Amino acid sequence: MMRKKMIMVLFSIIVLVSVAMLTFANKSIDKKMSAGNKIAVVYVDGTITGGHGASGLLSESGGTDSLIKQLHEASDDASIKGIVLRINSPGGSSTATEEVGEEIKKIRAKGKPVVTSMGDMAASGGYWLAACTDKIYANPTTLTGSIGVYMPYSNWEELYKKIGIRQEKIKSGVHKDILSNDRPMTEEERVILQTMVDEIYQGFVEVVAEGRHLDIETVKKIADGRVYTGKQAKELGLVDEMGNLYDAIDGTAQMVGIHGKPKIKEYGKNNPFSMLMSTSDKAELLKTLLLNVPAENDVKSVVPMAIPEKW
Amino acid sequence: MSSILETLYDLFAKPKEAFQVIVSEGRLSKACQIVLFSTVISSLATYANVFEGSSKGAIVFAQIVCSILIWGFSVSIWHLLAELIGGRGSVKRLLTAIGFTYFLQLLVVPIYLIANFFPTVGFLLIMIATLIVAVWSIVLGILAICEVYQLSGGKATLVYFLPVLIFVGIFIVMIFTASAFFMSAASDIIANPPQF
Repeated sequence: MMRKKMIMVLFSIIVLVSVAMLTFANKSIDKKMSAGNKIAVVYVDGTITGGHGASGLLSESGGTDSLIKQLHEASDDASIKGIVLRINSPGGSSTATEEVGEEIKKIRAKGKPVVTSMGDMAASGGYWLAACTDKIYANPTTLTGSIGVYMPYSNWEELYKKIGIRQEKIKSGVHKDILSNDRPMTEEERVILQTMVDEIYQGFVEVVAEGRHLDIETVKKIADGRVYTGKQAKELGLVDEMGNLYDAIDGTAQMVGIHGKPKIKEYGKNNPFSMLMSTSDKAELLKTLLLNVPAENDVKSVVPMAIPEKW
Repeated sequence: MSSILETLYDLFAKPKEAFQVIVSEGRLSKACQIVLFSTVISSLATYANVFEGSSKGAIVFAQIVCSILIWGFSVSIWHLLAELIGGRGSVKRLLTAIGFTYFLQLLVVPIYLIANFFPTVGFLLIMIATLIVAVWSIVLGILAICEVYQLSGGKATLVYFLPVLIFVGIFIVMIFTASAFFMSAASDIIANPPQF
């Protein structure tokens, strides 16, 4: 009887110790073994917008809040030696882009390199982020550049007259209804907005000049808002190397002195459980397309950043 | 009342005698404790390196809920089938007996630890251990049905596997039905292509 009990107590102890070692000790062993051997991959997909984006039960995606959080985590993880930013974005809000760009600069200042790998497109705000990194990889056909700023504005005054709509406003200041679509823009308003656009453009040019080690005048010559292919961008000095995501990972590994294949830690990739518990970007996109008629001053998905998403 | 540790030991060494004790005593609360303890420990070991933070908590919780649901659901189905086949016994006692078999899951836990230190053969070790535990669980499940409903080994095996056979049968019928439907629809579309 006693022997049976002893065996089972021993077995229970073995099981509990095994679980404890698997849960706690193994983590520290793993950390020690793989310390400084990892490269993080952080994804920047779609239009860059501020805020939370689409929130699910376990995750949130789409907004720069989650992107900054991922960058923070990668920065704080001692086992990660370098970060690859996989950009596939047409741009977005200037404020959100600037916020992420500043975060990238902070990570670099701590001594952790950040390298960009461009996907199909890294234009405007997408390029702004790329310019904040140490090295840029692009594919020959990647669409990039679009260094510039614009504010979309439509004047629907004539249409309103035809359908008998006349908007009345009670406003606190002369410029409170700036960019109103029911009247023409005044010269004074145009000057105000042009000053804003110029200021943001100047900031963009400075980020590119600083990041790419070019002088301001050279950047201004190529920053007329046009898009470039990856190949053209390399000739202009906007891109360092031609290559895909894995070339960028290998390049980062070499940069930080990892010998052999680095371990890759992907951020923002959903596991099946979080996919089940989170909202779908596609569903959100479909909802947006089907239910929301775009307002006249919405930022279109392929325009450069520099204005808030909605006015 | 026998000691729980002795009963669990007998479940490894002398399962038939162990089930006689388990069925005669019918300690359902002990079976619940074993199911919970075994599920929590084995999920912690399984997902030790897979998920972290809140995801791990959620997955362990989901595993516990699933284990309890599967436990209750499979026992109720087996009880129904055993009664239909002519067995006479209590569903509570079958629930208790099957609950005790969950303890077998714990056998794999030390294997996970060993596999963790020998990654090259680790996966194979885990597969072999899981297979052994799975086969042993089936044997214990059949023995439990035998003991609770006083059925022969053949009948108890039939009761154990009948739900699986029914499920596989339904699945095959569904596959054939769906294939037939899609083939019929596809042939209609080929014969009368839509006009735009």
